[in-house]
Amino acid sequence: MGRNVVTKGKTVNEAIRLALELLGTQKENVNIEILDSGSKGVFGLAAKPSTVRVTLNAAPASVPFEPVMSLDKLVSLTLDLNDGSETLPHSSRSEEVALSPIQMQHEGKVWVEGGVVHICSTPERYPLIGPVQHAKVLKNGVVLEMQEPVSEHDRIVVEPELEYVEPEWELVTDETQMSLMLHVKPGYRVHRFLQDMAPCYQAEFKFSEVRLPVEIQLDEVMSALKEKNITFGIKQDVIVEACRSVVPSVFRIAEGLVPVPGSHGRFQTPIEKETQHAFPRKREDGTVDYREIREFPTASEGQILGVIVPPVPGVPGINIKGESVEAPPVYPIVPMKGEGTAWTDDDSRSVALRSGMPQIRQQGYQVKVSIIPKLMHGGDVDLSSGNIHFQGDVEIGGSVQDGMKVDTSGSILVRGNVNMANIVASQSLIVQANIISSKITVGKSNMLYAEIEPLLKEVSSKLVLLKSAIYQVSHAAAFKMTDFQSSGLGPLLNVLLKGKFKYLNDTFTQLFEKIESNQSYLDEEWGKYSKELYRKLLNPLTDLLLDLNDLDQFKQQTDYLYALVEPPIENHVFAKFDYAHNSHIYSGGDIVIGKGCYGGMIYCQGHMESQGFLRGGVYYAGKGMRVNEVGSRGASTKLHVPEYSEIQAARAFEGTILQVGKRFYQLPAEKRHIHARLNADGELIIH
Amino acid sequence: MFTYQLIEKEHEIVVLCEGDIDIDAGDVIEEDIQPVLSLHNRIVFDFEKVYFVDSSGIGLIIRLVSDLQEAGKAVRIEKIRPEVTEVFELLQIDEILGKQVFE
Repeated sequence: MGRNVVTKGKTVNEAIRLALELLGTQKENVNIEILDSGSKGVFGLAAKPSTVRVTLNAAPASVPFEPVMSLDKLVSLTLDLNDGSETLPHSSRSEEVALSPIQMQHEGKVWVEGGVVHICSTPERYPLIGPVQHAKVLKNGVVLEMQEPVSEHDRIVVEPELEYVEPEWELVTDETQMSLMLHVKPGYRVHRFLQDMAPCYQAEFKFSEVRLPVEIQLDEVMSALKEKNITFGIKQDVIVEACRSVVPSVFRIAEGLVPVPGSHGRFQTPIEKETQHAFPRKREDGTVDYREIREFPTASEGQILGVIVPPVPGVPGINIKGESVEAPPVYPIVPMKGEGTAWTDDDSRSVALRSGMPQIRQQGYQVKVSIIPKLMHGGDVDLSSGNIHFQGDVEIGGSVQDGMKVDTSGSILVRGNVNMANIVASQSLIVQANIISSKITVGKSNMLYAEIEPLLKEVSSKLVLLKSAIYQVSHAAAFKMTDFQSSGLGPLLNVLLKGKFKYLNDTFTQLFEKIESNQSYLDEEWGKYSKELYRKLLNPLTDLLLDLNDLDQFKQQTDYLYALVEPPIENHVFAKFDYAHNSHIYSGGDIVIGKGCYGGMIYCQGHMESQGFLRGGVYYAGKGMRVNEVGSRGASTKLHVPEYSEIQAARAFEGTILQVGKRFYQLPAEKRHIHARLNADGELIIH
Repeated sequence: MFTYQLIEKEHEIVVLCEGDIDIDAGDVIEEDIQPVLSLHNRIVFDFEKVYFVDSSGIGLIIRLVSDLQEAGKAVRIEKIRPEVTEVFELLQIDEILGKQVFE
């Protein structure tokens, strides 16, 4: 006997409807017994309700159910019977059907076959179906919200959801409008199919998935290009590839034509070639052969010192919008008048007017070629000749004797010895014999430049601020400019340099003092500059009528000098000698030791090379050193280079100290072919 | 045109300034006011009626106040108009004379 309910209603129809509702089924699936058809009574009084018993059919829903009669007919029939105790025909039909073994297996279960849900409910057991991810489960057309029992009369449909993700894309232009990138995040759709499921009491629907890419619409991309006015260098094939991309990526879909840069004008000089042996020559392995140094370069009267090569303009390009892109501008060389030289052939050639050492100074696009005067001093520098101070090169035929001093703004060549003397050269020094207990400084200007550079930089940048401060104050409502007429900017500058620009005033002072105290090692233009500095900005009692133009001019001069000291110094400053004994030698560039050093302190910012031996003393080289024999049993010998430089020594004796950066090592025993440097971890390696 | 009034009080002297402190006010300040002030230890400048300044005038004030400060006197400048304050701030006068002058 199937599940049944007994219900009452005003009419038989209503009672049946109620019962069906309670059973959650339709009338095709039930047997109905009318127990009492009820009566309407008079005017609704003494009414008797209709009573029915509704029993669920046990037969599977899939078994074709032939409706025996319509409900209306049934009702009329029962009304006719007027006796509710009688069962209707077919009422227990399903009970009578013998169950096959397969049916047994499926009893009370739900299964999926070919995408269709089948249910075999029994009166004892209803399979359970609930909502499932990625699909809608419909029970008789209504979406299941929670797990529910179902019977074979229920129509269960599983509708897998279609997952659809639109492709995303974006066009990105670079600043220069030279390329267009298409950033793609591909779209996809996922189709799901209900998988077959073995019979079970509680449905667990599974789906197979097919994931299909969604292509970007090519014409959408093309119209976006049009919208952005991109017309040049479009790569159709890359766009097609990008539209079909299945992984997020970036495609360069348009590329402009990059302009070809031209070349600036330049000054070509044959001097270096002709006097090549005068400069240290670079070996193929990048080291420098100092043995090639013979003399300083010289030029004779009428010699051509150099030729100006005109600039070559570049070729314009096209950006992705089809617009022309100018090549970077090229600038011609501007010839400047130099001492002892002249420009000929429409200012394209520089010719020496007298003999001497040529000096070529290029700063920005200005080229100045000068012949530096040379002082020839025949004999010794001693008490009878006096000290030598000279603006230019000096050549000394003899020796520099006890307590004497030589200083120049150029280079010095000493054919003899330097004995207990003091030598300062702004450029280089060659001593053909020995240096004994002396103090030597070469490349003094390199050193000075390094000290002056930050000061000039500060002055130049602060002058801009000073000017804008003046502008600001001038435009303040309560500020009168009446005294600018009679006193100029002076009083205002004074106030600013006392207050807001106090530090600039300090910098001015430092710069002034630095230049003044080193005038003998600096060119004339520095002296002029420091006088301007004092007159215009440092002297509080100046009677100059300063205006903004004066400040501009001063800034130009500052920038000119800054450009001079700012680049790494390329003129090759060096000190070269055979022997040095107990001397202090400082070089702003390289040091070349011919035969050897005993004791003392040798310091250079460039490379140090020694063909001979180093016995005792401290040796420092900013760019590394390559020495022959080093160390002694008596005095200690120390070789020192900074962190990124190397020490190479052919032979080092016990006790020699090797220092690279902050790491040092004292050799416990004699060692040959030493190569000391720091590895990537900052450890000292010696082998 | 620059004029001034001196108001002597028990512990201080007040210099009531009126007009523009500019290059033309220089003589009055240096020749008339400065000698009088050296007799007092606390000096107050009232700038309520100072409408304009120029760079020479400011230079003068700085020199005057610094000199008085060096002589060990307490100096204050009071009631500065906002427009003039703007100029003083742009030039950072308080850095030169000390903030206490403007408190």
